[in-house]
Amino acid sequence: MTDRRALLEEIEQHSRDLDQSNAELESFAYSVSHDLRAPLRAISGFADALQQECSEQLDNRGIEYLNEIANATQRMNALVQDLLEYGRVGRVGISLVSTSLLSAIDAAKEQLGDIRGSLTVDVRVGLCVYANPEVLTQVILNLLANAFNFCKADSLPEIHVTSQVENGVVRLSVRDNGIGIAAEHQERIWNVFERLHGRESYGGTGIGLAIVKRAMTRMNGSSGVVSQLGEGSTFWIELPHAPGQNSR
Amino acid sequence: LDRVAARPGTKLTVKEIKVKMRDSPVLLVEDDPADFRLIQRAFESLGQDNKIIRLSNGDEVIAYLSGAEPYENRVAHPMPSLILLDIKLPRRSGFEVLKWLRGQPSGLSRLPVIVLTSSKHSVDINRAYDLGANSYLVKPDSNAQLELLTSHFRTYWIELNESPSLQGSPTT
Repeated sequence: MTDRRALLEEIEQHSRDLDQSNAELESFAYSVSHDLRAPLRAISGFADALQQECSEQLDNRGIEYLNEIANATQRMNALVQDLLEYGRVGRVGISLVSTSLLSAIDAAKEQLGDIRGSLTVDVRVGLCVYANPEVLTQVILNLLANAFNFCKADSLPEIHVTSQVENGVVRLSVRDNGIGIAAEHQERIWNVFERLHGRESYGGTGIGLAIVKRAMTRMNGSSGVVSQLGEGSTFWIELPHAPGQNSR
Repeated sequence: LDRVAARPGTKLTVKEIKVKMRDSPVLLVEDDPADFRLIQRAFESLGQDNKIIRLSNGDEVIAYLSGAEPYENRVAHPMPSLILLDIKLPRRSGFEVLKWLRGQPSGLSRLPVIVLTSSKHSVDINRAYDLGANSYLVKPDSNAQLELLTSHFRTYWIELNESPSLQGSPTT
């Protein structure tokens, strides 16, 4: 009995330590979002003001430099936001509820905005999975953004989203006609800041797929990719099937 | 209350109130000079004619609203029609200012406060409303978005919103 009590106390102590560590991380993320973005806002704000108000006094080279400043601040903003999201999906207690896959796809499409190329969705209305609606939307958004980003230079992206239900598990696949990934790189792409190409060739922060992997683990799901270099990629996620509902 | 307010000579017409509102300054509490300049620029781009008074810490706001030194002269330092308040401020934070303001025994406690901050943190949003903020706005990342925000702000808070009187005592 004494051993058991000692073990329980140890577990409780670990739990308290974990709570404290989470609180510290939360506070760190808060500082990042507040303090790091303020100077960024100033840099992009004044670069924009220079462009608007003083462009007549600048030659082409000056304008080019200003564009570089604007691009760099946009990139930094995206990085900060993605890092915060990466931290958030790993930290926050995620509640899993029956979530309509199609609703999450629609929400992700809306956030994706205007696209170049085509996107077809073949997912049954009412198909539901156990997930957190916001996190699932973020996951699908990242997969779609990734699919559109890594397209071949000589063709428009064609993205197909499909679903499959087997043994109580729903698999959502996002297939693209992009540049594909060589077998030796298919593990690396899920790591934070991992990039296979220079920033000038393809955009993105290098965090999107790391968010997908972490979020899927947190939602008791899994993720993966089937791809061949030059032959496009199919990224998939799997989640437990949930009973249908009218709305999420 | 409506009957009292509607007595002849005690109620300003809508037009008069709006003129009065446009004459009253907006108190912008912002410690970051770059943010202040960009917000000021956005208001200028609208042709905003309201005077903007900038204060950069919580202690200054309390001194200004109380008419304490060096703000005793109400002609030189008029009462604002509303406050745009940042949260993270040196000395007293925006939350402390809000708490102080809403705890005032006079009509000053009614002064509309719009929080304008870079924090999207739900803890901050909830706390601001708990302490009596009238609105919570997040500083946008681009000038274009900032100009849109200031434009909506002017339409709603300066042109449409009816301001309370800062005289008398709070009624419950």
